Amino acid sequence: MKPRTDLALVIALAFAACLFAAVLPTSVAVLRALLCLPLVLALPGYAVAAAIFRPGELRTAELVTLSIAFSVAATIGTGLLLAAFGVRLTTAPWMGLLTALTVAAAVRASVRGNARAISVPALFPAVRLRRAEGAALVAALVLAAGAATLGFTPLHAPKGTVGTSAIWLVPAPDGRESACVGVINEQLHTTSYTVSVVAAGAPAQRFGPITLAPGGRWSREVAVGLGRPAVDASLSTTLNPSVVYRHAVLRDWNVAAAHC
Amino acid sequence: MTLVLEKPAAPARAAQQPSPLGRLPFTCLAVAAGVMVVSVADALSRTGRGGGALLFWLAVVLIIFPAAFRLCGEGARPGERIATVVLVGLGLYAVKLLRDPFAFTYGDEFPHLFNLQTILHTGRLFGSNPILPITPRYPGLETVAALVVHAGGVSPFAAGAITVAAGRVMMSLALYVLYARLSGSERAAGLGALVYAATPNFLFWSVQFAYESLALPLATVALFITIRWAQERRPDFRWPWEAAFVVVAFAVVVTHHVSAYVLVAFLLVVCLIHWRLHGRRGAPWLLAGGVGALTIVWLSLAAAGTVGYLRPVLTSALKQVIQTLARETPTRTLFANRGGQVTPPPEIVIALAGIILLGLGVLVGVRRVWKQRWRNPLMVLLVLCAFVYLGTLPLRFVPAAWETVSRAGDFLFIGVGLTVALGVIWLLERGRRRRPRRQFVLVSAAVTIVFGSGVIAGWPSNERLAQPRQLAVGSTTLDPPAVVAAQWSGRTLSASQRVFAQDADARFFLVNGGQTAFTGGFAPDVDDMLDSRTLTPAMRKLLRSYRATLVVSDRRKISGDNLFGFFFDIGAPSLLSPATANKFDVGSANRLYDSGDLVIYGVRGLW
Repeated sequence: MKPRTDLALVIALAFAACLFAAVLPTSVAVLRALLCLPLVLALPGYAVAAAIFRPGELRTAELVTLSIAFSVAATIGTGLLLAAFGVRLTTAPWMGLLTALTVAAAVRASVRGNARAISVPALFPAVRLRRAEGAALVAALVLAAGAATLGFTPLHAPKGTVGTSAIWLVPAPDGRESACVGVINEQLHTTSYTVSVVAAGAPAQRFGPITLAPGGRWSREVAVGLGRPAVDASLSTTLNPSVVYRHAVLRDWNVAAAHC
Repeated sequence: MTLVLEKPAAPARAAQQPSPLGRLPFTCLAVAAGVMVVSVADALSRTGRGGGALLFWLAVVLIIFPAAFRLCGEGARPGERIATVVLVGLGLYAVKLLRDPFAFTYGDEFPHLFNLQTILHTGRLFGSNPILPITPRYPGLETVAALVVHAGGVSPFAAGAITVAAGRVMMSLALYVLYARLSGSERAAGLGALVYAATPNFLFWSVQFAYESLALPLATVALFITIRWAQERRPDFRWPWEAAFVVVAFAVVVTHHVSAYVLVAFLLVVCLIHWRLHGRRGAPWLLAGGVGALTIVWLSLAAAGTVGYLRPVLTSALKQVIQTLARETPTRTLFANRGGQVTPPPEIVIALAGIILLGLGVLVGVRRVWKQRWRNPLMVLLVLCAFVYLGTLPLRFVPAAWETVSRAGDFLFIGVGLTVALGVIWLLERGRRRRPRRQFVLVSAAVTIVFGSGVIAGWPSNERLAQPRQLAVGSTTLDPPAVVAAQWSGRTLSASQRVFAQDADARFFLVNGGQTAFTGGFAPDVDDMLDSRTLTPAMRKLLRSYRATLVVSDRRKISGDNLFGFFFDIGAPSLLSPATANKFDVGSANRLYDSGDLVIYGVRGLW
């Protein structure tokens, strides 16, 4: 059944938004946003405006302005209300409450006789465009899409960008008597490393060559013997193996590591 | 709307029939071209190439000039004017979005993003925030963004951008409908809303993910509701406007402290002006009292720390104004940006020309309001605001007052927009018979210069274009080393660390590491500790009293800058002395992470 009034359409859209928020996965975020965000930014405000103002009292721009402002206020207000009652702010209760508010306001507006009949031509009036206007709109869309594509694409590094490499050293989780050592390559090129671990002044283990692509990570758990001794890990590049490039030191084992 | 292409009519007939969309398609094209040009400028800047600055200004001209030209004329219908204003607002928002396409990079955006992350993680409001402790007490912005995340399934960054975009649309519309109702002229409304874009913060600062970006549009809607309330002659029909005002004012109060106080002040002054001009009856006492009461209730129940947060800022500004007047402190050097970069001379010329044109516009507008004996109290208030705005310009010479004055400008410029628009239209109507197109071109050029002047005053020239925040290397992308370090801390040590770090690093550890990060020069004085060459007993005591578990020692001086410190270094960075970093290499501290200039120390052993 097609909705015959603007308020019936608002109710239908509110229920649909609530439903889609529950069933659509976040992997289709664009579709989900298009279908669900009206319930956050437009529908409650439209219904509230229809409930409190007489038909024709607001110009279209004023109605749109108030719809957004009321919707934002409704979102904030319902969030505060749920928080006040100790309800966690998750999708189901929040969207449900907003839908209830929207439906209540729309029903109240309908009871007051503020519903407006709608028809497809009224919602989507045919606008006859001249060729130049059509071409301008198409060109505008292409330019905007091009701007977004270029703007949101990561580009290569400027000349002189400073890359780096990191070494890290933490106690192994769960109180094991070993340490975790790791390397992160933040250079702009693939790099080979050597890692030397010294425990209580004596060499414990040596790793390498470790070849990592940009952004690459490497980690190992190293047994360091009883008594939680001081551990020193040093990083060298294979191009310059005699120079300690980075180093990490573990003296106080009172560090809670979550992952190795 | 269904768009149907029409067969070309005979030229003479086609020229006679006005298009239902007016010139909107061409305005769309100009704005889109401007956005494309700024995207290219940002791409050049991100890859270290020159030429971006010139393209940036070309983009500004493409977005502002055609819109101003169209809004000056009498031919556009209200719908086209409104669409043009919204289009320009969104086009200018795109300039900011394309500058930061991958993450928020303004200092204030990080604490708000952290608040949003906290709401999403815990499902609760009113969490804590170590960098800006007052922000969780005003959760309006983050509440909306949190529901955008839940409903839309988008990332917190995207949700923040969508929420601010909604605020920008609301602001453009609210200015238009407010000006239209006040002046009775759609032409003044459109031009006034466009002139408002010249406020120095409009392009960048006012669309950051921070509470004022949503509260200011809501406050403007509240002003519009006030004027509609006042224009409703029958008291019985005023209740819908009163209800609407309460709803919107409540949203303002729970979103941003200063916006709420300014709204209260605006309404009180409107009441006083009404009392002076028309007597006490009929003034919006009820509305002023209502928003005042809401503000006080919120201040006492939820946000008691606000006074302590704002007092130092205001008292410092006031103190320095007095000291400057007494010539006890040096004045701030205009056009000298942080980092030592000086504004290019052509920009200085544009900035000064814009201020002169703006001043002239205000004076002509005031003359018109005066001559026509406009006695609407809100109109009188807005004209006063325009005057006050001009009066605050000299305060930009005072270092501590500069920021306060700059932020006050966002509110005062609501008056400037309408006053200048009224003045411009008055001039255009006076010279109607003399080559109107030429006059429109001159006015549009003037509006573009005034806008450019605002941009120059509002944001440093070296920070208007995108910086390398995320890099493509082969098939992967890289983030700056400080982001990687922060993410490592969250993943390896879990998000339960209490971190002392420089301004920029602390924000990364807050947002990317989920840590409780402290920074700044007081309570606690982290800067002093990190900049010092020796580790004193007092510093150990400070670490103990804040139960700090990690210290991030970053030798790069830029890591202390919350404007420039969020990007990759190009070339060798300026460094602090090795002693400042090495002071933590003592017996009881761990050197947990070393990426060269940035080292993370585990400092529980120093307590």
